[in-house]
Amino acid sequence: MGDRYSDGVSSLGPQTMETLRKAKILVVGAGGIGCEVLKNLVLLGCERIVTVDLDTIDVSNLNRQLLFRREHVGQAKAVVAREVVARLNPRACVEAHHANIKDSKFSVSWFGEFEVAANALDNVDARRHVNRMCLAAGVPLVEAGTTGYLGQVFVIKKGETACYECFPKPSRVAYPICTIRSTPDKPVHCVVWAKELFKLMFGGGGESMLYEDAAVEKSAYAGLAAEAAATRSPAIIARLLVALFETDVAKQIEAGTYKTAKTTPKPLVGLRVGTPPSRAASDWDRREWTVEECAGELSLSIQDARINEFDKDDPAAMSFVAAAANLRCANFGIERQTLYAAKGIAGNIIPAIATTNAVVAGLQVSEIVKVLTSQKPSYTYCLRDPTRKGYLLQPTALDEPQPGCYACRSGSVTVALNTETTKLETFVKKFVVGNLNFVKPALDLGESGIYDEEDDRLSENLGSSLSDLPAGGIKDGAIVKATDFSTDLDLTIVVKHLPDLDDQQYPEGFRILSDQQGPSEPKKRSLRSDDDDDVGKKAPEVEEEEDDVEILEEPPPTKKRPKDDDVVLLLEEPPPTKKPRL
Amino acid sequence: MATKNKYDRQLRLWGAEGQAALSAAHVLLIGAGPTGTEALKNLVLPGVGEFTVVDGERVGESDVASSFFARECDIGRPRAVVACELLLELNPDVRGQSRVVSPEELFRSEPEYAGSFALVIGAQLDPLSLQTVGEACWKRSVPLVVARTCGLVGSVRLQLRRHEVVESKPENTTWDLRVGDPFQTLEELGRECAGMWESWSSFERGRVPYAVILAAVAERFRRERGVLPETARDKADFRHRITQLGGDLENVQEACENCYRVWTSSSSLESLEVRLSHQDASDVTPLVKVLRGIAKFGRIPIAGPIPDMHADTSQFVALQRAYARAANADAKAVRELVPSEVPDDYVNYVCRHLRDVRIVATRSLADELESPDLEDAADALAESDDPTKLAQTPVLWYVALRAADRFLLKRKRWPSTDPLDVKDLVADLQALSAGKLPWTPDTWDHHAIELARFQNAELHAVASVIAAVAAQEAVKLIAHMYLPINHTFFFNAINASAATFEI
Repeated sequence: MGDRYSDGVSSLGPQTMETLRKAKILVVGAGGIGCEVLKNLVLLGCERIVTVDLDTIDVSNLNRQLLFRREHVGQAKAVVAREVVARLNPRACVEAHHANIKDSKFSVSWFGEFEVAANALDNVDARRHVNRMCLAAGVPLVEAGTTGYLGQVFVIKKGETACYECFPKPSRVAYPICTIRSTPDKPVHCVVWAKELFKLMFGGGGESMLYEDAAVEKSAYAGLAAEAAATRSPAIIARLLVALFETDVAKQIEAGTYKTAKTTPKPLVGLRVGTPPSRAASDWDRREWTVEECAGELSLSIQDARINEFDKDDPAAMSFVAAAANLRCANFGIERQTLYAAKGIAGNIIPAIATTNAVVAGLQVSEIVKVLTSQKPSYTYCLRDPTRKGYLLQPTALDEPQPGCYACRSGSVTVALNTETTKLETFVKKFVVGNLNFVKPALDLGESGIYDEEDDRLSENLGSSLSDLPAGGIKDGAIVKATDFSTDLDLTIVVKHLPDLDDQQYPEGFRILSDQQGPSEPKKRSLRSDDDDDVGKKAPEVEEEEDDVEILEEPPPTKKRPKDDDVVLLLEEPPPTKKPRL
Repeated sequence: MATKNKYDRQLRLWGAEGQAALSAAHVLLIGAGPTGTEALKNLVLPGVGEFTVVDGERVGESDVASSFFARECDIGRPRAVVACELLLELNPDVRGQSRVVSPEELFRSEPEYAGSFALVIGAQLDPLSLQTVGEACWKRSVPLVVARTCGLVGSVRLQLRRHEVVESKPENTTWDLRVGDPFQTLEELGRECAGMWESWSSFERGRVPYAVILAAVAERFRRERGVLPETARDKADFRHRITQLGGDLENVQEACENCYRVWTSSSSLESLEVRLSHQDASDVTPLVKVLRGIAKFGRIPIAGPIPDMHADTSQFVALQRAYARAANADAKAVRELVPSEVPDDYVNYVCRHLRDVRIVATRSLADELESPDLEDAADALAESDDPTKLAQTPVLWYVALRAADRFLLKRKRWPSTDPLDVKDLVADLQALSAGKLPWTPDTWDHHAIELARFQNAELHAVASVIAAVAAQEAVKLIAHMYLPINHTFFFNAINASAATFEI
């Protein structure tokens, strides 16, 4: 080691530096947090890094993703990030995959090669996937997320700390149809309604919440909406606006919809289609449009809209939603929104800034070092305002795995066998029943059932060898979900293909590679009542927007601020010969 | 489809006003090592207008090892020039230049230099340069952000002589409802409600926004007792009166939950005393001019916006409008009392956010050095009795770092792990902390040895956290939004904890 690592050696100690250099580290995501993590790892002296990212670079990334420049827009994030960080240290070997982490090539055994993985992702789905893969492969995972000024970092270690799925995520709010269709009382209800109207007109109407079977019920606008979308004729559009914002509202009042409601809407009588707000004005999207302007804007955007799903970045679609939502707000006496605000609601945009990402990425690297040097990891909150005691970054103890967690608590077991010669019947009888002590097993491969004692239709699979089974077969790296209905136990079985298993040593035809949860004593899942206090406390947040998902009631709820009393300073005072570490 | 605006995501936090302030700002960075360049990077990416980098050193091996903004091929070139070049690559909207000169020399020959910047960031400055820079910034009232990384610990210190925040954006919005001190329209609505309540059906009662109910009950209470509820008993009585109106109605329940607004919604200027005391400030900023106007006006102007309430839509909208009209009228009246060079928009802006206006001042660096006040920091030490936890408390590391700096000043070198150095350092630590902290370790050896090992190095992962916090504070200061920390942030990467304290 030359001068390059001298600072690290003096502060962290030579053994730690050596460990860092040799460790194989996975960084999933090369976006806001990922860029920072990659840079930090390389500059810390880590030499074996692999990054995976599906995305290409977008202009809106440039305000915080420091590895990317304008000329990179459109290129693969992982590839550009690799090029830039590899230059920081000639000894560093950085491998990039422009791919979906859910791709089957990233199998459990592929994950198993890493000493530690870091999640720098922008969506719950991929996070869950990596969580399960790391649990299955026994790789510690350092999870991180930010929203605006808030962030958190925590470590998932199988069997020791709570996993990503131990606490339910804040669920996306689905609004009751009647609120959207008849009784909105918040701007977001009107925005959702406008998106549904867009879907009805331009996105294949059948799925729209506003769609109704003409034979059953007839609104004042359904026919006109279809006609306006088809003809784009300003005259028809004008009639549609009257139908939407006057006639239909009046009709609903008459039908007694609002008899017992607190609020009665007001039909927009004599709605004038004004001039659309001028786009030349600098405050075009920041100013509240008048009702007449909204009508003008809506008319114009109906003429321009493309037949497509709603996309907040499609100008005509977004204008449509903002204008229609505002007219509906006017009906119901709800405060109107600027286009800018409506876009935030409709696109579920989560603010993101360079500084929070940098703090979180720095903490994530600290936790990676702790994991690699076997120190006790922590769960750290990054707060906007200091706590009563002045803490801005607050380390707290990690939770234990939650007894009810299906992802981690039911455990997993890795078994090696010859998938080409082993029959399903042998697998079930000798392994699942004989070894794992399952009483009434059912096995699923992906979404497909392959065996269920109580389902005769599946019994024909028993004679097939594992690799020939439906749903792709049980091949090397396959994950089989085993459920025991009698003990209510779920278990993940990872299968490795081992063609030359020594049948003298393993006469039963399989070899168990890991068995950490002790599935030989199946436990009943305990009810959650004991842990209810913690439920929902620590759901990680997403870093970036997810388009076209059900709209959140509000940005992901800020977590219950940890109480000051929760502060636990985790590092034991190191013995004098031992170095403190990051 | 791509968003056209690369700043879209941050605008959603600090708005167009914050962005405008940022892109108009010229920031000075002194010290182009890993901590300084990372901090400036966090301002260049979001679009600061212009920067100047001052540094007298040349790129060395340790810069290349731990900085993103110094490459192998730059070894031997001035750090300021290299950092400037590489930082400018991040964002074509930003202008930047460098000056190759030691900060000591620059500030000695051009004492006015700091005065032309919106903000100065001093990164990894040696104790002497820091004193010079600190004094120069204090004298010219330029906000200074001091960032420093030392091995596994680091700090950010703000020096603000006087900093105005109009939108402090508290986590909980305080609505200005005036229910205990109603403006004319609200008073009339309350009276009407009180007069009609008995004759209304339950349906009609359910349509009244809770602010009107509260105004009505408060008015009656005052008529009977001469004052608004003050004692706990009065308040309970008041709550009881509300419940009597019909506990099953949602708006009445809301009124009950919001009772406290009756005794906290005063328009008296006294509640803003701290802020208004600054009307006598020698530096007559536009904010001071507006505050003086408000003092003449005689009461707090109404803010305008009101929270959502369970009510009949038309009644609620009418109430919303009444508040908005009252707010406009107040702002207009204040406008007449403020010198005309202050723009209308600004007067409105201050009137609307008056409750969130804060004026912040920190101690100067010189003061802190002269007479450190460890009282605030001592609180954190009183919380636990576990010595292994206490030993990692950020404030202890702060004290330890100070001792190491004194060593550096005296000996012109960083302490080594040599037992003699450690002994000296420990002795100084005892002198610094004796009798000033409620808890000190049995021995300071651990802290002293660690600091000696750190060799004042800028470990990148630590520097990047420190730099991020420094930049975050810089954005707050430039935008005059959110409350800055007061005044020191200290990060201990050994256990990933960080605290803020005033020393």
